Amino acid sequence: MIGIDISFWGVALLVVLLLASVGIFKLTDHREMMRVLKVFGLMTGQVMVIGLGVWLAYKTGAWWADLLWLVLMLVLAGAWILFVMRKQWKQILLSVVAALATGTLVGGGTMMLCLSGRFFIPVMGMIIAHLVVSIIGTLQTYQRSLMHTETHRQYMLANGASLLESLMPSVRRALRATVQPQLRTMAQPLLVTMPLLFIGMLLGGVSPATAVIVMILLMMAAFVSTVVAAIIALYCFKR
Amino acid sequence: MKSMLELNDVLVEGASKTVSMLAKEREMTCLTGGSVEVRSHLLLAMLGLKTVKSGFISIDGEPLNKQTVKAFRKMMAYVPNELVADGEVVVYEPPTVQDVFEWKENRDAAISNGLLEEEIKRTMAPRDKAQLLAVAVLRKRPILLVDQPHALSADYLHRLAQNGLIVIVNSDDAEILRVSDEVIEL
Repeated sequence: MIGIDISFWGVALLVVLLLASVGIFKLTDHREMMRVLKVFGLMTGQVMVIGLGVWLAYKTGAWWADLLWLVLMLVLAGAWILFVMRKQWKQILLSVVAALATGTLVGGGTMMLCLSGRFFIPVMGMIIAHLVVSIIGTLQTYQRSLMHTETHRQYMLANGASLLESLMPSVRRALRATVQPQLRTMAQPLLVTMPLLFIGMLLGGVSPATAVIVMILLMMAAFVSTVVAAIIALYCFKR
Repeated sequence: MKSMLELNDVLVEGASKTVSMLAKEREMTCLTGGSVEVRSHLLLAMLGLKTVKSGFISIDGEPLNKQTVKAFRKMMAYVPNELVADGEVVVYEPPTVQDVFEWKENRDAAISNGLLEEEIKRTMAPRDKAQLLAVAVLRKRPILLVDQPHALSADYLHRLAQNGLIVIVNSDDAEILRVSDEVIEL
């Protein structure tokens, strides 16, 4: 691991500037200020918890520690998805477990064939982050579509469509919802939205050429894993 | 022997009494009275798309169940009252005519813009209702179920029955009742 010297005075200046920015909200919009503080607090807490896990895994340096970290991340990711969609948790439990496991295995597993073991944690972390967003999008869209199109499906089944054909419009909508956030991010000019991971790799001392290659590979793996996870999630969804 | 669709003491959700009826080939049967929802529910029950609380539905003596539902559905065409998304959400587009004839089971049906327009004109109904009816008729199935047809389509539906179909409609309209061979009061 490469250490980075962080200047005390730099940090102090940043904290002062942050407080000043939050202070603007205190003057203009008190409710929004509370939200900003809450989000910052939550974000810092989460980064510290995940950071601790990663630190322990790196410190141990054993394969089982990496695996343990992965299992913990998967459990947290699954719990978050179930929390977001808590009203339908029984209906989606199987979908979430199967989609997360398969998506991580396919996307992360393929990436680990391309890269060395030291990339395990960041690669899996990024794949899981993509999967969480996409699985929530897929299941919410699919469930909403099924709820609003019962009349359409009855018409289709009554006029010659098979069960699969009658579900296809909802499946199409769900798959669109799966890939759209990722496509939107990729379609934006990189100068406007510099991928965080790319910056992270540069900060971590990786050469720009390697960072570009790893970035492209990761985008491909993330796309594959989200599509695979979406299909699995839809297949396991209890109708 | 004439084909027939039979309902034997069928009780569906929301209904206060059972329904028994016998719809025969070359006859137009009209379900009327009671609530519109119950009658629509009955049509969907004939397609195996809604459950019945008691009683049974049969075609030519063969009862409708999990094993026979697919075969039964292949014999039917269904025309809903309207085809809108539940909750009036406009983002969900209904299946198009092209979609209907792209489904595996309908690929053999003869369809063209000309045929469709001709059939739409024959129905005499306003465009939206006429299109749904024309599509169902062009699928050429022996049983036609129509939920709340337009009054202007009364004679057209009667003619379809005379040409050999079993036509079952759900309506309170006087014109539809006038042309129906059998009226089942709920």
